[in-house]
Amino acid sequence: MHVGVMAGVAFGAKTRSQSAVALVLMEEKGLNTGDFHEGFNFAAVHELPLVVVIEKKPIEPTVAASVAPAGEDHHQRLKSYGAPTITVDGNDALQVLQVVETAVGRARSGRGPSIIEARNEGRTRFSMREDIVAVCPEPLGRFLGPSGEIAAPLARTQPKLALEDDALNDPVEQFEAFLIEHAQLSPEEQEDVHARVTRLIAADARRAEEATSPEADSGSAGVYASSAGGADRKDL
Amino acid sequence: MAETTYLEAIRQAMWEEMERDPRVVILGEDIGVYGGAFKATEGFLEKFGRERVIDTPISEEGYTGVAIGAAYMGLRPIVEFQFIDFIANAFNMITNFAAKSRYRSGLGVPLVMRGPAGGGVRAGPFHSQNPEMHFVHTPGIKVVVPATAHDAKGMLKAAIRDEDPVLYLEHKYLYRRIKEELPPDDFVVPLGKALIRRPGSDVVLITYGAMLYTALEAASLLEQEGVDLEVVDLRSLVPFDRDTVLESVRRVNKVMILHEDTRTGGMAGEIAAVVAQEAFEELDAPIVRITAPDTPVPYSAELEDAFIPRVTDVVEAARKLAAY
Repeated sequence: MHVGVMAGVAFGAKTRSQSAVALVLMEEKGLNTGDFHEGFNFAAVHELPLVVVIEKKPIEPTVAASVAPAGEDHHQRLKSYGAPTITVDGNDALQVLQVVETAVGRARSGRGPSIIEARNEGRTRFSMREDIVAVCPEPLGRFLGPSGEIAAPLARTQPKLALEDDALNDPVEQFEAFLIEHAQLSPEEQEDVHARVTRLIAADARRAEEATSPEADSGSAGVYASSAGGADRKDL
Repeated sequence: MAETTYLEAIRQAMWEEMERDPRVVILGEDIGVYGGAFKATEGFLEKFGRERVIDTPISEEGYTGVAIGAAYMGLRPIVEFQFIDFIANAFNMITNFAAKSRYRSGLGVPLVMRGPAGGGVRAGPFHSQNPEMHFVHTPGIKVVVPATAHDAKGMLKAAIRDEDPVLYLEHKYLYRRIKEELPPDDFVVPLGKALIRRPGSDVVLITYGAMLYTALEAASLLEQEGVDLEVVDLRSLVPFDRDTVLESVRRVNKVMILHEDTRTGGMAGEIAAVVAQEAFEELDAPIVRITAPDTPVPYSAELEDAFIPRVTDVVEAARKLAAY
């Protein structure tokens, strides 16, 4: 659904002579939808400033049948739109940056959309089942440690499996290693980044926990621009 | 001043709004080079250019999504469904994206969706429908059904200027069959207001769209036998003008509701519930509905003629109601 809408955002930007580029992130399983085809086809036909980044993750056996395309693979089908279709190692932050910058530059210069397939085959960064077991149904407050830090399961987006596994293919860790080796990132700086991120997450978590619930009778607010729209349950 | 057809009124509304506001754009199949299947956008491409008049691939879901994204970027898109029946392809995008955008994210979608609805032209089940109730039932969409050339122009302008998604249903049977003189100036007909087209005292008939003319014809015939029919043109289904409807009901006390749409889940049921709830004490008879039956629109001429409510159906029902 959002590929079509973002094609529209790109269309709006182009029509209003704005330099905005629409960037869409999606998973491979969305590629079989009619929405994807109609939205991206429109963008390609009208040469809109759109970049689609498709995350190719290892597919769990239980959902493989629903993700698989007819034909060889999605890449062959994607090439048929006539837009540059680039495959990149999704774990390599610098490669991804380079490829996206090129695609965005292409879009901004009026040469139309691009597709980027970011392979992330080494490790599933979010294993839905494992993280859900860790996070739900306890409230977030349970995960704040004694000094207010987020406890281990939420601090790093790694599935449980990875904690015992040295051969991580985690993009954040890969980039850290790169910075240490090539940009002289010191242990103090490294710790500072982690601390800042943890504080940001903790602050947002606290804000969410402390947010008040909406008023019970505010249910129809925001359905229409003005109150002269539909009816609430006391009326029609 | 020359008379303007209903179709020309629609064309004028879009043309004038596109002249007035550079943010208005129009997307649809064959609307540009071809000028529209019914010529509603003839001349638009030459006047407004390719950036504002967009010929789309056959992809109702896709281009409705594009229109939503364009609205987010400050444009005011009009989306044409070549026959309104094809809106079914965009159902997900309309109901799950456009309708919920403001409620969910605070992002309004000033989108107009329009197309030829209704039957009586031998176009069969996929080119003759009245799909209003799918969208009347979706909070977040407004639904309007102009019946005159004047309202077609004024309400389309209002819809284009509205900040919410508006489904504007134009009845194809009326396109070239009705015409009237229109005011020369820029006029807007507010959405959400019904109009008493014919005051009466024996029975009030509430209707909308092309059925207005069936109602008025029935009223003339009934007048000859001494039955005075009040005819209310709803013009707008969401918002729905309860005040005008209830005022009529409380004054006249006998109600019929007429629409070309099929019976079950149709607007008549909704209005009947409101009337029964709000004006029960003022009713002197049960509420009567005259609608199409619950079938697809037939292709066969004889079956289609039997499907669409006829003047005689209205006359008979009004006669019985008046005598109740």
